[in-house]
This record gives sequence, structure tokens and C-alpha cells, in this order.
Amino acid sequence: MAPTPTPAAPVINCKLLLIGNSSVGKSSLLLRFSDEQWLPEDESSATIGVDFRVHKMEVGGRKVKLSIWDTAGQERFRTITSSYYRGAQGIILVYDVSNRESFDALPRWYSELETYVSDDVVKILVGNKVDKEFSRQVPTSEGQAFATRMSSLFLETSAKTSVGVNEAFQGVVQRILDTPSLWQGTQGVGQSTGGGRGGMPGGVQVVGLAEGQGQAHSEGGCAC
Amino acid sequence: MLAAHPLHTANPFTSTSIPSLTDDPDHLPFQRNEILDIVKQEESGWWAAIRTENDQIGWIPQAFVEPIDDETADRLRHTRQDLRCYEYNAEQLYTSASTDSVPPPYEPAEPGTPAPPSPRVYKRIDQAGAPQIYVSTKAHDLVNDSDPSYRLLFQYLQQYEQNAKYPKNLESPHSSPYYSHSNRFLSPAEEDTTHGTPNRAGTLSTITTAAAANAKRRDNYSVPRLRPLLENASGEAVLTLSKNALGGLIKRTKSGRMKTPADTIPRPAEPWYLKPVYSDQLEVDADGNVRFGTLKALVEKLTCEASPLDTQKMAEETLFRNIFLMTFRTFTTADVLFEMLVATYRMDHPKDLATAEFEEWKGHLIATQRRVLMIFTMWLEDHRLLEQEPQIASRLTEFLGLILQPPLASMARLLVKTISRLTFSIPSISPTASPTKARKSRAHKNDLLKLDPIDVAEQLTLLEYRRYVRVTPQDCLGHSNRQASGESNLTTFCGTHDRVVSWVKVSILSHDGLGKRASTIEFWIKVAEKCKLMNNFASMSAVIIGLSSTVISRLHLTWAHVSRKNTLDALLKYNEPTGGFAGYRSLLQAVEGPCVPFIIMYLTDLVHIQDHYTDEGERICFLQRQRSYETVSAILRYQTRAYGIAESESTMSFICRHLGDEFARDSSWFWMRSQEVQQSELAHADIRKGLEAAGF
Repeated sequence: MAPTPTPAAPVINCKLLLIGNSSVGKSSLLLRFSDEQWLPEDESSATIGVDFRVHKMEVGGRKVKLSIWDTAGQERFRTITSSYYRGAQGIILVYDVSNRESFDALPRWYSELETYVSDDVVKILVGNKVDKEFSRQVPTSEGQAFATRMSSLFLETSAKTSVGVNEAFQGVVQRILDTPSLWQGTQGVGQSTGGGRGGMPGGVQVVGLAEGQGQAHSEGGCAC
Repeated sequence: MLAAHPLHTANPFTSTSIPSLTDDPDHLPFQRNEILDIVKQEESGWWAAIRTENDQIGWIPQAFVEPIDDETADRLRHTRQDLRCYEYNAEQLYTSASTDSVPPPYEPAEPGTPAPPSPRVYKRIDQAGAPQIYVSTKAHDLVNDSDPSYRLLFQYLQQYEQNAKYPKNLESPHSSPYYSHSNRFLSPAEEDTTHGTPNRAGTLSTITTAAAANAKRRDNYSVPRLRPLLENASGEAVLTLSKNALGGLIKRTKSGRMKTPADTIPRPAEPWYLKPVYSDQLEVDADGNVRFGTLKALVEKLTCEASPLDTQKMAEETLFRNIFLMTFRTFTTADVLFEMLVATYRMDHPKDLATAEFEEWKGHLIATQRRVLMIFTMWLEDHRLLEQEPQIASRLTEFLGLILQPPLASMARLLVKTISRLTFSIPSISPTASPTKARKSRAHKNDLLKLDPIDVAEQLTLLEYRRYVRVTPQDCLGHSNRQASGESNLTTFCGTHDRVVSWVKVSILSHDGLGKRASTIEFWIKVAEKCKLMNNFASMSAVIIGLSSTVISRLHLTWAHVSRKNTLDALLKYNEPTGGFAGYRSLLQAVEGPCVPFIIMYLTDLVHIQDHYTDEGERICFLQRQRSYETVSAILRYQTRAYGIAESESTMSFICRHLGDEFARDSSWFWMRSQEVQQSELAHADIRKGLEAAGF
């Protein structure tokens, strides 16, 4: 529909996954992240489940199509399907600063990540609900220290007041863009996921040409 | 199109009705079966017609004529006037035969039927009392086609009749004009063809199929909203509902031809003392759904009743009541609700009422009181009053014991009976279905591979189904607010899923031999296939999640010996989270018969609904409750359809033992063991290569 003057303008596809304990505010974080700008993946997703959201943004002059997968409500199932992790370049781990339990559960989530995604997948630890400062149970420093140990980014947010929400998503995307192995072609991702040989088949996430590098990566037909 | 060169046969409705028309010199008197040309069509329903034989011109009432095309008119002009009708009739039969083999049916004429409204054209074939045929050329009927409540109504009516409790003294709805009209609006595809309504015997089936077809139309926004209602309604609920619906229907029928609901029936404004007090605290959207409301307003709406003439409102109301009763625990407590209902029942009369006004108010009060009792009945029968809040039961009994006035005392007594019946009835957890013969289970000596995959799948299904039926709406609704959690039936049901996943992984990883591992994978793929055939999507998904987990899928050399890999890949497509597990959703949509659904995506839906629609202080977001109600109904939809599987004790105990054992393992065990297995696989492969290289 829209005229595309420069066919060379590449759109980088990013798949992000939101995980964390129940009630830490995963879905509200997603809701808050640029509230009304959501493009429903198709007509039906607006009515049947909205755990898969597509969002377009520009980071550092590059167009990025974000697809964010939310696992909210699925914590009753300890084993969520590994398909969620397939091809994810960024993982957003959420805990609730006013709920110690949700912070203590983080090692379990990290061990799950170890199983399913490669090491270079970008991880960000998000301490949500800082608006509840009065009932805070996890100090910022502790969260920061844990994130550093797990070589993750770290940010505190509030989905309620939207403090830090956009920054969190942009931070992840920026880091993904800084890690070309994540989005340049299949090989890098495929081999390194699953912690070695025989891991999950890597998702192909690059559509079109990578800008400024002139390399063809057209084989990346993305499901999004 | 008619204006260009229109031709009409004119048929006097009855001979007696015409003279009054002919008094006016401007009118054109006409005979039955005459053919007239129409020169002008007025909105008023009076058309100017010309009789070609003698160039007479005058006004005729449009309701008594019917358009025919030029060709037919030419042919009919050469037919004797008294035979024209039969000729025409035969023509109609002939032309309609291609599209509809059912001959035009007849229905007894109703004496005193008011004149039909303008857009329809009737043709009277014979004298009064004889069969009559409607040849409506304009499909635009007076009944609103998109109105789902009519469908609902018919569904109820049918169930009601099947229950054989249909009151004999009432006229059969089949003979009412309402029913025959319904055919027309329920089958939009047939609207364009000119033909009569199907014969009476066919009426019922036409409605059913049409309603089902309509219910499947996804573009109709209101259908998903009503579907749960259609399916949930059973037993007593149907009874009460259909009584109401029937009452409404009969009144409608008697009130004459169809009128568009509510809009055209001029309702006298309610006097102030009958008006709802809190209605200004209720926010209703264009579709009649309540979006927001305070508790008081919601409870008031619960006991308010729309005009019984208005079936659409009735259906909306039933839906509202069901939503309210399923979800009220999320915004108030049972005790508060009970007290509010009792207060409504004991409502005091407003001050300054004249005697006549007081009498009217009193009548209104009794109607309200009846509705309060009806709400209690629904709460008891369909919304788990006894299970959820047993303390209410004794208070309710006490309250009902005080009702002694004649109009409501019997209803109260019935309710008390219901309470005791429900209290002392043995809770039948799994509805009985005649189980098939138990399989002969071979001695398996604790070896999974010696078991029959079909047997395992069946027993797993039985186990999952038993846990599934225990899940209550409250489990689902309380699910997202963690505070109220704990060991709920929902946790158990979801936990089984995880246990199956673990079992699958352990059973494969614990074998040292590559061949054994490959056969175990094959075995599980067969189980998954069988589960899918049995609509046990919970177990199917668990098995394939286990098989596709990293710890198993990395064992490449094992997989090289698995021949059913393609089958697994096909099954895995359903497990894609894309579009909120669109694969499962479409699969579940199509399910008929017993089913154990995979519900993970519905749980996400519930969280999203609750995050998206939030209460604003006093104002309770009822829309959120409505959406939740829809989702919960979708989760629990299959609870009533039991599997006819006999329990095989040895297999069942085998399954249960493994589901208990394997879950105790630490998650890191899988990873370590998988690594171990993989390394030994590679080492063996290396040895073999070495041997081959050495010439063996």
C-alpha cells in the first residue's frame, strides 16, 4: 500500500521474549510500551490472544520490527514450549521489586535460558513496579549486581508510571544491533543455541539486505 | 426496476375487504387474479395502477398485489382469469424447484391477522381458512437478521421440547407465523429466491442447521459472546430460561406480526417509583453490554427485568446474570451479595404514593422478588453456591423459610428443596458414559516399551480428563491474582502436563542403549498421535514438548534411528505459540465430542484481559468480567462430555507412579544426563568410525 521509495531500506526483525514469575507485570509492561502504537499481527490476534505483538521502531537510524512474545499467565505450566525460545534474540526477564520471591526465582529462569538459547542472546533484567517504592523488597544494587553476574543488562521500570519502559526495550534492541551475529544470517544463531551442538534450530531473523554492509542475507524468510 | 415497465397481478385479499376501498372514486376496484400495470409507487403503500383492457386508472393498496415479470404476465393474460392463480402457482413451483426441492408449504391462516406492513407483498391463493402462501419478494423482513437472541431462543425452545415438558395447552410455535418467518431470516442464502417457507416437518431442522451455521460465522461479533451461553445452558437453567423465552415468544406472537424489538413498541415511560435507582451509575455501550458499573447498580440490574416482549433484551439479561454470578467473587464477596439481594427482596415502598401507584409498585415488587429468587436459583444450580460458599446455604434456607405469602412461597419451597437435593446428592465428578471394555493389559514388568501406546494414551486421557473436570471457574478467575492461589485444581491440571513432560524426558534419557532410546521416542510419538485422535490436546502437547525439548532433540544419533520424525514435526506445528497458539485454537474450535483442551493460551488471555480492562475505583469494569467469562467458558467448555474409556488398573498405576517419580528430579539432572548420553553417542560413533577405518 505505502509507497516504498528505496527498496534497499532494510528492516531488521527482532524477536523478544518476556519471561518471569507470575504477577510481576509482564503483560502490563508490554501494554505500556508505547501504548497505542501496537500493530496487531493480523486481524485475529486482536481478538484471540495478544501474546504476540509486533512493533516498529527506529534505533540508531535503523528500522527494526519487533515481535514481542509474552508468556504472561503461563506460569502455572512450569514447562512452556521451547518454541517460544526458538530464534529469540532478546530475552526480557522481569521481576517485581516489591516481591522478593519473584527475584529469588530468577536463577531458575536463567537455567532455563541456558538450556534453550545461545549465550550471545541479549538478556535484560527488569525490576518492575518501582512505583511501589514504599514496599520495595529488592534493593536496586542487588538487582544490578545479579544482572552483572549473569552478564545481562539491567533496568528498573514501572509499567504504571511508564518509567524506564521504553528505555528497557530500546536498550535490548540497541544491544541486539550491536551484536551482528544475532541477526546476520542463520549460521551464527543456529549453532550457538542450545549451548552447543544439537541445540534448537536457530530462527532466521534478517529480512532483506543489511544496511551499509552490502551483504545478501535474503535467505531469511521470517515467520513474522 | 418495477417502475420501468411493471406488471402486476392483483389479488383482492378477501372479497369483503374490497368494498370499503371501492367507495373512493379514486380507487381502482379489482378482482382476484387480475393483471394490472403499476404506473406509480407511493411510499404510503398506495400504488397507481392501470387496467389495460379498458384504460381505467386508480389507486390500489400495494399489500394486495404481487409483482410478476413481463413474461409471466404475457402468458397469464392469455389464461382464463379464474385459472390464472393455478397457472401462476404452477409457474412458481416450477421456478422454485431448481433452487429448493421442497414444495411451498401451507400454513393455516390466522383470523384477525393485522394487515401486513408495506414492504411485503402477499398473495392469497384461496379463500380465508384455506392454505395461504407468502411470496415475499423483498427479503427485508421485520425481524432483525443479525439479532442473535432469536437463535438463542429457538435453541432453548428446542431443548425445552426435547425435555418433553412442553405445556400442552400452548399453541405450537410451529404454527405461529413467527416460526415461519424465522426460517426466512435464518437462511439468508434463500432470501433472494421467491419461494414459500419449508413445510412444517422441515422447520425444526432448518432452524437448527441455520443457527449452527450462523454461530460459526466468526464475523458476527456477538456470536462468541453467546456461544458459551448456548452451550452452558443445561438442565434446569434451560428450563427456566425457556419458560421465560417461551412466555416472551407467545406474547410476541399474540401481539401480532413481528415488530422490530423495542424500538417500534412504544413503551410507556416508567413512573418514577418504578425506575431503577442507580441506573446512572451504569455505563452501557451501544451493544447493550455493561462496561462499567458500581456494585449497587450491578446488583440492581441483576434484579431488573427488561420487557418480556423483548427477547433480545431477555437474552442479554440472561448473559448478564451468568457473567455476574460467575465473576462476582472478583469484585465483592458472597456475603455482601447475599445481603444486597435480601435487601432488594425486602425493599420498602417509596414515600408519597397514591393508592393506585402503591398497587402498581406492589406488583412491581413481587416481580422483583421473584427475580431475586430466580437469581438464587441460578446461583445454586449453575454457579456453585454450595461448593464455594456453604455458609450462604444456611442463611439462604433461613431467609427462604420466612417467605410465606402465597405468590412466592411455593417458589421458596422449591428452592429449599433444591438446596437439600444439592447438599445430599453425591457429587458426580465424571458424568457417566458407558465405558468400553477394558483393555487386556499384558504383563509389562514396569517396562514402558512393553505397553501398548494406545493403552497409555487412553489412560493418560482418562487421568487428564478427571483432573480437567475438577477445574472450576473460580480456579481460572483467581488464577491471575496470585494472592488467592495455592493448590487449586487448575494447578493440578497444569501440573500433570509438566509431569508428563518430565516423564517423557526421563524415559528416554534413562536408557543407555541408543536403540532403546530411539524406540522410546517412537513409542511416545505414537502416544501423541493417539492423544490427538482422542482430542486429548493436553497430553499431546506435553508429549511433543518433551520430545522437542533441547535435552532430547540434541541427541542426533538417536533421532537418526527414529522413523516417525515427520509425524512429530506435523504435530509440532500445533504447538507453535504464534498468534497466541493459533494452531490449538483452531483445533479446539473444530472439536466435537470429548476433549481435554490445552489451555495455556487462555490463561494468557485472562491475564491480558485483566490488565487491559481495569476497575476505576468504585466503578467495576464489567466488560472485563464479560471477557473473562467468555474465556473461562472456553476453557471449561468440554467438561460435560465424558470419555467412554474404562480404567485399566495396572496401566493407570504405572502412569501415576511415573508421573510422581520423574517429577522429583532436579531440572539440572536432565541437562547433565543429556550431555552424558550425547557424549557416549559420539564416542560410540567415533569407535565405529575407527573400526571402519581399520577395515572391520
